[in-house]
Amino acid sequence: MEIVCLIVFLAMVISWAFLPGSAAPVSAHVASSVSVTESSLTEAVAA
Amino acid sequence: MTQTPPPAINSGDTAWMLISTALVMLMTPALGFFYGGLVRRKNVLSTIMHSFFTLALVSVIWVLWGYSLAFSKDVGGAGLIGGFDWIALTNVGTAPNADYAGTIPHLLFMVYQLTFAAITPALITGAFAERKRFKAFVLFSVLWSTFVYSPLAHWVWGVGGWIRNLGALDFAGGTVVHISSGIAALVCAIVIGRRRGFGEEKMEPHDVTMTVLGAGLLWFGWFGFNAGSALGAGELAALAFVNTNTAAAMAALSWVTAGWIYKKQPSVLGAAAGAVAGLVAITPAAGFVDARSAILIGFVAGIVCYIAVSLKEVLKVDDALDVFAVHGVGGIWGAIATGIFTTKAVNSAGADGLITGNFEQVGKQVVAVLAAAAFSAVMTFIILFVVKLIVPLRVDEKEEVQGLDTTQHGEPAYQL
Repeated sequence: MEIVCLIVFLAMVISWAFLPGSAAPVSAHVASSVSVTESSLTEAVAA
Repeated sequence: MTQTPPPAINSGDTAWMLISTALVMLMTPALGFFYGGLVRRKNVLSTIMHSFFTLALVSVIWVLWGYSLAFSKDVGGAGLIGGFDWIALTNVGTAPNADYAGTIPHLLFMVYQLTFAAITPALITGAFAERKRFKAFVLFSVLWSTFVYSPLAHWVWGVGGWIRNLGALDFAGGTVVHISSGIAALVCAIVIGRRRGFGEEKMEPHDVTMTVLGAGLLWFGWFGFNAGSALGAGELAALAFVNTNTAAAMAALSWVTAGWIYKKQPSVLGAAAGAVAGLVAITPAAGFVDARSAILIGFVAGIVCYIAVSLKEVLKVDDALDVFAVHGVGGIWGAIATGIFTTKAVNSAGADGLITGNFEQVGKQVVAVLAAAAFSAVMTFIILFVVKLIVPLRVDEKEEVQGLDTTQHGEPAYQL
């Protein structure tokens, strides 16, 4: 099972390298405000 | 003939359980912060009040009758409810009770269980945040604690409880606390109805920092919740402690990853919610599995709870703060995962699970899940119906628009 755990964790870590760093090239100020435009956990997921 | 000596108090166990009790007590106000940050600023005080008031309310209920109904001698032998032997803590003293915890004062076991009883109805409040009338909430909490929590605690943990006798495993309250509250939250959300403007206007969390603070305090307190459920300062507590932290961490990572893939950004709110989902899922398994299982339990918890939050949006049910998605779904996954990953190799008092060839344990876990979910759903519906006969469940439209802080409590949260 330790092999499964290692694969799952490392796959997740490696995936981060290929995921976008930000949704759009925005300024730091705008980026910080984007995070609070999510409403609830629901909207954070569904937006 | 020699007599069995009476159980003796162990100072190490007692010290750990005193600390654990304080840790779990902290979780209820922490939940207030977690929920409080997620609502709009006009409802933050009322949301925090739900948790804080529940802590006080259930503390008294538990001393007066809740503990007796949950843990005293079974009535009728059916394993459904305890009696009145320990009403108002009659016969509950400092001498240990060997049936539950033989090395700590019985009073300490009682107050440790009190902190669990207190947080459970508080968890439900996230479903009806921003619209439930305070008086209705109070009445609901009294009835729910008495007629849902205490019987369920008896089923699972009480001597003679039928789920306990069945052999289903629940180390720290996955069934009693999380599945029951998650299902009750779903019923509340459906019966009470959506917030005005739900789906039409943004209902933004007014303070994500408050929510993350709450999540951090919940994580901290959860060490008392799970490692404290060992009821002693020993190997089992250490195992539960490690599993708790591992699953929370892994679920935070997997929820963030899922959100990152879907939304293209790693969400702070997702990290907080993911950690809570992992904590929920590892709760029933904490003392029965090893750390490798905790990694997998946490990983799956983060994913399935994230998906559950998404599905809830499709169903258009306004469980305002996603109690069902996190506690209901996370709790169900945790209960079933316990049946999969449990092994006597780490806890001889537990059972072997699916990974060691015992499929029957999964069946027992499913029975416990279905029983707890059905009982909670039906009883919650009945309680809401009864409360509605006495007082309206919702505030009126004008009060909802103005906000519950000023209309229900006469106090704005911020003077800005």
